[in-house]
Amino acid sequence: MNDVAPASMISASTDAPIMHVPPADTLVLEARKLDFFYGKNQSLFGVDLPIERNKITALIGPSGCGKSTLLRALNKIYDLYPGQQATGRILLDGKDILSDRGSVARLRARDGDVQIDPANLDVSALRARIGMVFQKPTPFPMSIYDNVAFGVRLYHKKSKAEMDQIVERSLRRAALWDEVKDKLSSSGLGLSGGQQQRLCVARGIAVEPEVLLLDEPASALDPVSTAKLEETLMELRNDFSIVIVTHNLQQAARISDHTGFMFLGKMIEFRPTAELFERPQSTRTRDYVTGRFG
Amino acid sequence: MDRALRRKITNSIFVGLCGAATLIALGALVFILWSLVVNGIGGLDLNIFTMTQPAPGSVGGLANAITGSIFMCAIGMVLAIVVGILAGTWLAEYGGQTPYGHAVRFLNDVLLSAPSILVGLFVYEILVRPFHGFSGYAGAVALALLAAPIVTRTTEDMLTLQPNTLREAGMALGAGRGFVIRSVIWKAAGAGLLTGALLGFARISGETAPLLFTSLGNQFFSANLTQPMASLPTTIFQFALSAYDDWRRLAWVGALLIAVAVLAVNTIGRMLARETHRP
Repeated sequence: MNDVAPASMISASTDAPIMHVPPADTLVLEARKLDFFYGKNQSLFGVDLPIERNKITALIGPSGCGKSTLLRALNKIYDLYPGQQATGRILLDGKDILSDRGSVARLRARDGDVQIDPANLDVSALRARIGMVFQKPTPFPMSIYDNVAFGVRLYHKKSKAEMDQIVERSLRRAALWDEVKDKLSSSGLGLSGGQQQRLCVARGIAVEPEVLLLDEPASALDPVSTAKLEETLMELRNDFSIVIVTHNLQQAARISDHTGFMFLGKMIEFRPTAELFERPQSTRTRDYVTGRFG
Repeated sequence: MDRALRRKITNSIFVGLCGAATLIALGALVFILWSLVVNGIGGLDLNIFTMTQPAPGSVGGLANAITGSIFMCAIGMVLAIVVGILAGTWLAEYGGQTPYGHAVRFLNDVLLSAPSILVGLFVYEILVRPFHGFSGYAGAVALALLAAPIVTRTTEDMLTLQPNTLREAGMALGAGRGFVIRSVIWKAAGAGLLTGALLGFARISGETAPLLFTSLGNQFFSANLTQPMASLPTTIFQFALSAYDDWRRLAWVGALLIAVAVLAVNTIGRMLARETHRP
C-alpha cells in the first residue's frame, strides 16, 4: 500500500500549478492546456510544459503520473495507437502541431473558438524534427553504421563521403565513436546496453532534430553507463533542446536546467531545477523530492 | 514423509516421464531414418539422377520425378512465401484486430489443418477440369495452398513477437509505418520468417494426395509445366505399391531423397539465419 499517495495530497490536487515559464522567445516547444486520453481514460489534465531552447528539461513524478504520456504526446508517437487522443495545443517554434481536423474540433469544443496557427507538418516530418530515445535500447537489426544512417537516408540523398562524416560526427557527439570506430559494419545488437543506448542517441541526433525526447533513457543501464550517458546529454545541450523523463531524482538534479514535477496527470510545479529541489513551493513537490512518497 | 523428500521424488518422476517421452519420439524418428537409409542407400547411384523411370525389370532412375518435384515445390514455395508473408504482415501490423482480420485468421487456421486431399480436389475443380488437363502449374498451386497458411501463421506470430518500441523507434525518426515494417521489423524477425518458410517446405515436400489430382504424374521426363508432371511422392506411391522389386527399391531411394532434401534445406536455412543474426 506504500505506493498510494496519502489522501491529503489527492484532495489538494485542484490547486493551480506553480509555473515558472521562461521568456516566450526562448521556447522551442510548448504544450498548453494539454489533455490526453487513452480511450475513455483521461491521463493528462490541462498540462502546460514550456521547453527552453538548448536546455535540458526534466520531468519527474511517481509512476503513472503522466510524464511519459506527456513526452509521447510531444512527437505524436501515440498516433500509432487507435483510441489515444490529445486535446490542447502543442507549439513547435510557435506553430501548432495538433492541427489535424479532429484535434482542432476537440480543442474548440473545449475552449471555444481558439485561433491556431498550423505548422503544416505531416507526422513523419514532425518526428524528424523531434527525436526520441526510449527506455529500453532499440538498436535496429543492422550494422552500427546503418543504424546511424537510417534516419538521414529517409530524407536526404548523401554521398558516401558525406554519410561517413555524418555517422562519425553523430557517434562522436554521442560519445560512442572511440568504442565502435573499428567495427562500424558489425551489428548494433552486439553492443552492451549502455553502448546501445548511446547508439540510439547517435541515431536520433544524426537527423539534426531540434528537440530530443528521452523516456527514462538510463533506467536499464548500470551506473557507469548512466554517467556516460548523462555526460553525453550535457554536451548535446549545446546543439539540441532536451526533454528527459526520469525516475531518478538525482539525475534530474544533476543534469537538468528546468524540472517539472507531475502528479496524477497534472503539472504541479515547473521551475528551474535548483529552485525546485532546494525550495519546492508545493507540499507535494516537497514530499516527493525529499523522498516522503513516490 | 518430509516435504523436501516428497518434492524430490515428484521431481524425479516428472523428469523421468519427460525423458521417456523424448526417447519414444526420438526412437520413432531414428527408426524411420534408419529404415530409409538401409533400404534406400543401396539403390542410390548416378542413374537415379540421370535416367527417367524404367519399365519393370530395366535400368532407370528418378530424374523425371526429381525435376518435377523441384519445379513444383519451388513455384509453390514462391507463391506461398509471397502470399503468406504479406498476409501475415497484414494480420500482425495492420488489420489483425478488425472483425475482418479475425475472420481471416480463423479461416487461415482452418486451412492450416485442412486435409490435403481436399486441397487437391479444390485445385482439380478450378485448374484441372476447366483447362482439360493435369499440369505442373496445378500441382504447384495445390502445394502453395498447403504451405501458405503455415507461412502466414508463422509470419504473424513472429512479427507480433517484435517489441512495439522497435516500431516506435523507427517511426520516431520520421519513417513511415510501411517502411519501418519492411526495413526494420522484417529484418528483426528474419530468422522467424525463414522458419515459417522452412516449415511450409517440409510440409509440402512429401505431399502426395493433392498432386494425384493436379499434376498426376508422368513417366517421361518433362520440364513443361502446362503438362502432367512427375514428382517424387506420386512416383513413390506408384512404385511402392507395385509388385516389382526394382520399382520398390526406387521408391525407397525416392523417400530417402525427400528426407535428405528436407534435412538439408532446414540445416542450410538455419545456418544462414544464424549467420545474418550473429550480433
